[in-house]
Amino acid sequence: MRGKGLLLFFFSPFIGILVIFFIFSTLNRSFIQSKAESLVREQLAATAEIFKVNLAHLLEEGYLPEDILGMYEGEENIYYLAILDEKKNILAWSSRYEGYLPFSSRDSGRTEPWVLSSPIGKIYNRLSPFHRNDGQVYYLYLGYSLRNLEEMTARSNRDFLVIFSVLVAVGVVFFLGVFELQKKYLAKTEEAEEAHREKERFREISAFTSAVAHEIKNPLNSLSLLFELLQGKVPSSVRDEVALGKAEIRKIARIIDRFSDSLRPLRPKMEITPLGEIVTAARDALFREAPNTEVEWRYSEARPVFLNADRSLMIQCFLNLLRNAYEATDRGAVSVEAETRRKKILVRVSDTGRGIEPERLPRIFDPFFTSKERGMGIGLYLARKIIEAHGGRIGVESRPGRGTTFTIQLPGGGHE
Amino acid sequence: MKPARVLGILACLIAAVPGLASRASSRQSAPFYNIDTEKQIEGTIRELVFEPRYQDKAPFLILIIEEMKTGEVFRAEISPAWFFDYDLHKGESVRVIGSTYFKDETQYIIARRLQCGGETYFLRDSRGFPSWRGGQMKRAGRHRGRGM
Repeated sequence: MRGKGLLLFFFSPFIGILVIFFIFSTLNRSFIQSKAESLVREQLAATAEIFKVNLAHLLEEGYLPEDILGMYEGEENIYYLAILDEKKNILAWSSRYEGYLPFSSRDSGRTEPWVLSSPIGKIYNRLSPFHRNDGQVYYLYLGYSLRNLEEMTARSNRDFLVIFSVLVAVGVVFFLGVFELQKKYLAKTEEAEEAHREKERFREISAFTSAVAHEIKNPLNSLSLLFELLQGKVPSSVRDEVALGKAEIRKIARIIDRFSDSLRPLRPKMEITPLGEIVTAARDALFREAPNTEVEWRYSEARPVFLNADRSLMIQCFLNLLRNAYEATDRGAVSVEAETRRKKILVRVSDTGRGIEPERLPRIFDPFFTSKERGMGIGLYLARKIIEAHGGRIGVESRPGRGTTFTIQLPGGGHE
Repeated sequence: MKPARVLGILACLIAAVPGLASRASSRQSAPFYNIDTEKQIEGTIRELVFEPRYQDKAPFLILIIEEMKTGEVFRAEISPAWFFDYDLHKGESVRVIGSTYFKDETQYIIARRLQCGGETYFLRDSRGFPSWRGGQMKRAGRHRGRGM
């Protein structure tokens, strides 16, 4: 499962929960809203009935409609009210808001309560008749609202929005975090699987190569012995050619030995050795093979660094690294710098040579991978194998045309 | 009936008169925003005055407008003075949409929308709810001054 699928796997349940919460909350709020509206309608009807009895009584007593309305000013839930005559002409009105009485000819025919939306919320309107004892008919127009209820509903909506937003935000952050962790875990797993496949492949190659080396070496030994015998018996005119053949056979044998050595598991014999000695021995060995005085040599360590390592393996490792560095450098310098940092030894082998192309860089430690015409692709592979056998790591940075730096990290305090 | 008794009844009646009189002292309801009488007028401001319009409320800005076509004069009730802070001037052309009524031989209009100086002020909503008592205070058009 990757990318989009993984995202869906994590987000689908979350979105499901959100949808359920949203539906449940909306239904709940809608139920409360309808109950609240029903309550307001009942309150409006009850208030209107009480008002009508009082108004009829006051009108019978001879009070004028304007004066009667004055008595009802300040009623908390009444936004406006009006007394109308039997033809539904407004005799008097009173409103909490200047000039606001939303009654028009369109409303005069209404017999059922109606709701009006206003900037301050819903207003429940009711137009109902009442009459005096003498039969004179009047109408009462009432605008009613339970403002507390409206505020409560609005607050409930606000709370819902806040909770929903927080839920969404927290959920998104949480699931993104989980998703990222899962992605990293999967990436690591894939890396481990890849490494395992690589090891398996290499094990097969090693087994095959060892078998081939063994099969070649036996006839090669016989051939070498044959040349040895021949050398004493052939005429002096062809003795040199026989010697050359013998040397070539030895060369082949050495190559096979190197192959075999590189494939054999390493078992380092640890001893405390100064790093300086190892590096110097490696450089001397290299210079015995091919002296190079064109390239400057630098070795530096802040304090003497000691390795707990297999001396000969480490010499082999630095020999391979320095050989690579010198071969890549026509002019400039090859340097080795060593330091200790937090119980680790860091050694940098740098050159100012041609550098390595970025596309080749990831494969340079692979066995039998080489960019040299006469190379076998074993040197760097063996160097990494030696470092890893000592519990260390090796990395490389390179800039084409500017040089390459190998960084070795080995365990140990380093100083004595 | 004895004269003393008649006098007593008369005295009672006279005493009852102030009570009746107070009941008869009618409270004149101010006209409300009636959408049935809504119309649009277009004219020139002749005068600007501030008048108390509603009981226990702040004075209102009133524009006396002479309608362009008919020459009729309207007293346009705009809003409480504190609410409307755009500078209007005599002679300025305005267009008002509002509810009209006639009182004491004078034409009145309760403004819902006022257009002047390239700007439109929404003073009340479509049912006459005043913008200064909540709701959305809107202004459209070219901005000039602080307006609402």
